[in-house]
Amino acid sequence: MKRNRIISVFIVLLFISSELFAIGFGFHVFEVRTTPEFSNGVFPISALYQFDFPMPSLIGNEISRLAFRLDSGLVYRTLTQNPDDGRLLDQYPDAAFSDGTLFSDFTTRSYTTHYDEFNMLFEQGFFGKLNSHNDLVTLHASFGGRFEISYERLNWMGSPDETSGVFWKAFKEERFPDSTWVGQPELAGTRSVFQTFLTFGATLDMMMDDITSQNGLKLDAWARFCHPGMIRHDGSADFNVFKTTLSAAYTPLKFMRNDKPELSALSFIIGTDLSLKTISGTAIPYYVADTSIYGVKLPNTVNTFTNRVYATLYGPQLNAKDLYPFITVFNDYGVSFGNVANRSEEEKITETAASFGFRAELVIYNIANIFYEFGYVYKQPFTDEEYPITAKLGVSVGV
Amino acid sequence: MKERIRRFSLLIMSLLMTLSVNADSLSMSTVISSVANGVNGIGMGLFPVSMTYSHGKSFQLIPDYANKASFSGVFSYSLSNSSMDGNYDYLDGTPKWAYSTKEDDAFNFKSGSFFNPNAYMQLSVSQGLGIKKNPVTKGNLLTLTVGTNIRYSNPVELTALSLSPSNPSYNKGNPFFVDASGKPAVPFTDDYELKAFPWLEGDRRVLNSYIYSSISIPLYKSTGFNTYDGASLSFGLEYGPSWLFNKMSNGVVSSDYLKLYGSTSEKITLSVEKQADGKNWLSSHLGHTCSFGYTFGDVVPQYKIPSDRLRGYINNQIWLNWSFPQFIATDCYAYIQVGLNNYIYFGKVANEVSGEHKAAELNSSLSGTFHMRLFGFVRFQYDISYSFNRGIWASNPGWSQNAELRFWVAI
Repeated sequence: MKRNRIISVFIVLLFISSELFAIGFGFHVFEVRTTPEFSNGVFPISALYQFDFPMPSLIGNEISRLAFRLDSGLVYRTLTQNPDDGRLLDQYPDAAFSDGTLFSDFTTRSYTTHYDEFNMLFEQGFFGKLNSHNDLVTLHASFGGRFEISYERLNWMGSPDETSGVFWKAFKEERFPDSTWVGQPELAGTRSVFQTFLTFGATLDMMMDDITSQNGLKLDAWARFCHPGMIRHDGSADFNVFKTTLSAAYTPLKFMRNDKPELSALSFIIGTDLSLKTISGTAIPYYVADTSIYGVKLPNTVNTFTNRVYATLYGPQLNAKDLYPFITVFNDYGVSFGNVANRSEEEKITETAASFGFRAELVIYNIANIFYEFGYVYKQPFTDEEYPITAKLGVSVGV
Repeated sequence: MKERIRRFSLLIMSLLMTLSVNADSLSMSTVISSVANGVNGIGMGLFPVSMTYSHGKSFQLIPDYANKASFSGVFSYSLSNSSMDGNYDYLDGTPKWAYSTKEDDAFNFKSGSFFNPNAYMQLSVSQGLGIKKNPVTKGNLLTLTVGTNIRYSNPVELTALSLSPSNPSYNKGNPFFVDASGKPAVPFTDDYELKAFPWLEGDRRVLNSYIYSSISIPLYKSTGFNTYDGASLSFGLEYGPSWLFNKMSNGVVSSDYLKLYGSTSEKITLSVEKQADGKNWLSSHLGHTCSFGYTFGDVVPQYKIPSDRLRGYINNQIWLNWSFPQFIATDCYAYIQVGLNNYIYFGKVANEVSGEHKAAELNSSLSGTFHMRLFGFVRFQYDISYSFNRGIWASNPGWSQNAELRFWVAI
């Protein structure tokens, strides 16, 4: 079949010096994600990966890194706010859309977004290592862009019971034909957006992470600035976000194997992760406003705080450092406070959510993980209902 | 069709190149295929709509053997469209060319496109055998690979049907599998058995798997800079029986096939000119590749359907390659390749219930490729070809072109 394809060549500007290339490239797959409606969450459908360009250390022995990071794939999202004015659907169950449908009757809220986010990232370490394998202080700066296009969930129009969607009430019958989509700005117009932004961050790393033991503290903070005046920005987003995460862990017990002393036999870790996010702006995209804890999505507000407390028991490292089982129990807590994001008039709320979970996992050479997890949500926003989180036996792949 | 085969074989070759790296530490590579225009313009024609990455790790399989084996995992997903070929009767798989004009009314066909997100995992172990017994390379005699591949796909309606009406890619057409009220359209109702397209039956959540084994025998000497002179042979089989995760939730068998295949390739260097520092200035090579195979079995899955649904193939390519200077680093270079390709497809028709029709056809084409890579990381390729003999489907266009951009890292 004849297909005419015109492509623009993506040229990466690189340092030009032949001595650099003896150092070589690096590659990391940070995250591989699944979504329940595609293969029941077994096969991946999106991933975050990074290519490191060869780069000599600019300051002494501290790490300098120039990298290209790409986060791409397909993800399911939920419409949680009224497009016309940003009212949270769960907060006002008896309110109605402009066509008369009650918020509480609008149950098919899932839709699909295909997204691609790239970042050209520069990272520099300072002050050497203190109780960690990484430099004590690392600063990073990046320029990036994000493309998104949204459409109905994969199973829309799959059967007579699946003709109702988020954008289409029925086939060729729009649900929000006249909405300005204030409540979800990236869904306005063509539902296809491209935004650019600058991101800056710093990490203070005093955490000794040896896979089956972790001791110390790590503080990570980053800020992203996204405004319509930026290069190639299409005006669909206008926000500043600041996020900080504090991780602390302590390993009171660790036994090494007698036959192979470099591998661990048993270890026990307790730890906590605390995270605070603050957003300002008039058009905040979903990927920035969205915050979840295990099993529950928090309402989209400009401030969110989440906390996980966990205890993990690691089994023996078999044959290699990256082949081991572990069991973890954890408790998640989250609170949304401050103004509702993308709300046409100011409205402040404070809502909390909490859940706990259990996970047993076998890590196989960092190539694949087989896991079993289940949990329970004992506090939801806006309602007193509690519910169990369906047990899941799955495989996740990637490093 | 052909450029899809070429692109796919490029991908497989790229993967094979990666898998042949045996290292003591974990090695990774990825190929991200960026398809221009994507899925109805998704990704602005710049961002990937598919990704493949592989991990390799070497380990001692045979105790006290000097060669370590290597374990490899390949993972891939793709967000792409597929189509139902209206040239085959959907009930019994009879090809259109087997019907005389009098029988046109009896031909059951439907054609159209749909969104077909899919993903697969492939795990394999390779072991080099016959240490130092290879008469040409003086290394391993051969490499034996055994593995398994599991794939999931889910044909659903085109994403363009639910885009915003103000989006230029919005599709005003009708759904393919259902009518406007969501009821299954003919022939996707329960009373039709789609023997030619079993992956389109029922809820269309398709799981396929096969096991495979292959042997590759290198008979070449490296001439430095990513080239070799000599030959290489490979043979293999793929076996995807119905009892191996190849039944869909409604009991329909999605795969029951056996494929035998092989290839030989030979290459010689015609001329070499080097720069003062040893990097390539201009070199030229002549090569030949012959690949052949046959697919047996009652149910061939969607992604293994052979070209023009004829079970056998013998592909012959003769090509000339000019490699241009390596600049800045050894993995920054460009080359041009021109080739004469003859593809013979023959045998019975895959997924035809009666199995009574056979055909043989020759497709011949001239092709040109321009390939450029920067630091091995960014690879651009432009292919153009002209078919001067188009076999069964004489009305297919003669010219085709394809441009592709890939991001690749192997360490």
